[in-house]
This record gives sequence, C-alpha cells and structure tokens, in this order.
Amino acid sequence: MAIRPVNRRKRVFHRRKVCRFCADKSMNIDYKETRTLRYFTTDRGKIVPRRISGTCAKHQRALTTAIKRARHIALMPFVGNVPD
Amino acid sequence: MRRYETVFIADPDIPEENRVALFERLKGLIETDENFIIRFDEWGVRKTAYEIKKKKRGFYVLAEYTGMGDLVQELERVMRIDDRVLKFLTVLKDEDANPEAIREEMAREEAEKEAKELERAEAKAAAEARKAEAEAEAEATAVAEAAKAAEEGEAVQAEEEDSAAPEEADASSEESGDESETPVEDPKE
Repeated sequence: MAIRPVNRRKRVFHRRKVCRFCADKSMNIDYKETRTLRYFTTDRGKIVPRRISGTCAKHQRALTTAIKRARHIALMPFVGNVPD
Repeated sequence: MRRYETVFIADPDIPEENRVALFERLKGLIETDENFIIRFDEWGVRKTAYEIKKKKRGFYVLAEYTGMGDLVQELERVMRIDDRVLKFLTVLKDEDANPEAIREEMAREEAEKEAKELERAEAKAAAEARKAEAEAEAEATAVAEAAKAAEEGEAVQAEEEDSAAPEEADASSEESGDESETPVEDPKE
C-alpha cells in the first residue's frame, strides 16, 4: 500500500521548463554579460535551442542577437572547445 | 538624437601614449556642439575568444555617446582605416534619446559615484582608526605581558608552584519524561 505512491513519483520525471528570463525579471540579456549568455551555449559555442533550454520565443530572439553580437566582438567564441 | 554604444578592440601591443592618442582622436570625433560622450569605459586588456589579426588579446573599450547616423558612419570609417583598432561593434541603444535627460542621468550617476567614494573613504578612515587603536591596544597588552612575564619568571625561580587538580564532578543527568510519541499517520496516504 505504501509502495504505490513512491513508484508513481519515480516514474513521472518533470523537467522545469520555464523561461529563465521571464521567471527572473532582474535578469537582462546583454551581449556584454557573457556569463549569462554562456549558460545558453554548448561547450562548442553553439546556441542552445529553445526546446532544450525552455526559453520563451521573445527571450530566445533577444538571446540569439546578444550571443551573435558577443561573438562579433570576440567576447564569445564562434567555435569553442573543439574536442579532438 | 540617438544614443549609440560602441565597443572596440584596440591593439594591446602598442605603447600607452599611442593608445591614448587614438582614444583622444576618437573622442574628438564624437564630441561636437550637439553630441557628447556619455561614458568611455576602458575595460583594459582581455583575452579574446578567438584570434584577431593573429593576436590573442585585445584592449577593450566601451564608448557610449549621442549622435546621428552620420557620426557612426564617420567613426566606423576612421576605425576601419586605423589599424590600431582591431574590431568594433556599434549598437543603437535609443532611437529617440533626450539629451537633457541623459545629461541629468549622467549628473546623477556622477553624484552617486562621488557619494559612494566619500562613503568608502570614510569607511576606510574608520577602519584605519580602528586598526590603529587595536594596534595600540595590542602593543600596550604586549608590553604589560612582557612586564608580567618578567615578574613571573622571577617569582617562579623563587617558589615552586603547586598544582591543584580540579575535582571533576560527574553530573549524570537522567533523561526525564518518557514520551512515547506515536507518529501521526496521514489518513490521505
């Protein structure tokens, strides 16, 4: 009897998919703040897609421009950390 | 009036005075009767994410200013020609900026900065005063201790100390009150 709820909890795996910029209004997207932007890129420097990061469309657009600007001024890599 | 922001990377390997001359030239281009520089932040030498003109580092500068498109055109033309500038990026911050408001903002920021500096200076002064006090106290106690030690040294030579072992009283406290708490079971579970 006590086993059932535990099992159910184990089976359902919820991934928090809320836009981080909507959840935290104090976070702003700026091409100069590479620390925040780095979170939305892979080790290789690719931009993480929306379906993975959970960012909303509006913020993903802003994020994309910011990352591209940061790349242009060499604050972020176009291609980074290429594994051999 | 528009508000622009330009980040440019200057050559990190040129002598300081050459770099300053370059900055002055660019500042001179921006500043006219109407246009002015909001801020001119020198980030200093940073590692670039990739090599630019075979250089792995760059001297980053952030300039924020007001002006119209022709100013940006001119500024970028000059930077393109000047090989002391490795790369640049101009971003439009505000399509319709109010110069008066920006000036006010600048004045406010300046005042805040000054207030902060004043505060910091005061805090520093207070900390130093405290430190000096503590040092003086420490010195005083050190002197006193030295005197005491000297005295005691003489005293030890004179008489033998008898050490009295303090009696340890075993206080065995019994746990009083046997509470047999029955865990409350959730009927919903």
